[in-house]
Amino acid sequence: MEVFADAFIETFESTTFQFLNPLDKIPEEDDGSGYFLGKCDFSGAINGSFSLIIHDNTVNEYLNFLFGDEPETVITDELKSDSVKELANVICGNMISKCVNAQASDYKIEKPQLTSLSRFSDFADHSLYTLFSDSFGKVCGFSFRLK
Amino acid sequence: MSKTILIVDDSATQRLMLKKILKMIGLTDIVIKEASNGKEALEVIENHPVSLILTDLNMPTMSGEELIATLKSQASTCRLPIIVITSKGAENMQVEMTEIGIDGILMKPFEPEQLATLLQHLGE
Repeated sequence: MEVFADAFIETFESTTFQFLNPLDKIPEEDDGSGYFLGKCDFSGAINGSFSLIIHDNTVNEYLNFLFGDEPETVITDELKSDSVKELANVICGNMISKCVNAQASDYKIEKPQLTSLSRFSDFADHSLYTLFSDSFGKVCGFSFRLK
Repeated sequence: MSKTILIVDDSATQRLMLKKILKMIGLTDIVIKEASNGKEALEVIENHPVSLILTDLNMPTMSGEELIATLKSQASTCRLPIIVITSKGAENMQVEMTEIGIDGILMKPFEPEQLATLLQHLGE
């Protein structure tokens, strides 16, 4: 499992310019501003799914970091949703590339699906996630499952 | 006349990032066009002269692979430089993508300097 966590951390940090620290227990806090869940299924030579949990505030900070100096770029809910889906897609592709022995042309990553939930505990299968604390003290995490 | 670079990606975030990166690496005197899939890209190319394409692969309606195959099959577009920017394993794809005639491949996330180097090789 460590190899998956390492690949996740490396890609998340280099994409979002944030740093992650492992969390060993499910957080009790919730400030009510909500989480996104981006899920990608992949199929072909390998089959499975990747899911990313990320806090709403972290997505705002990520987009502010990227586009805060560009007044013409307005950070809308649509852009936030798109950025989480893209982030899930990029991390999924990198994790497959780094952890699974499969040629890129032999599998397909499906378009990511997005879910919004108000509390971390609303994720039905949250106990299956590897969790981290990000640079803003918010929880993020992933699950990577092969069928 | 300014050169036109066409960015093809179904993610608005990725298109915005690429526009910013092109500015960061000093390409300010260019026209940037956008398309969210291969079909839209072909429509842009039909109506506007394009000098370089930066394209994702995995897109709805018409994928990057289909876009590349279409461009390579037409005399008017077969020499158009194409750089693929993908979230799938770029190392594995280098050989097969070179065989179908693309000019470079980058795996997301990438450093702006990597794109700058590829563009320098292409004389952009």
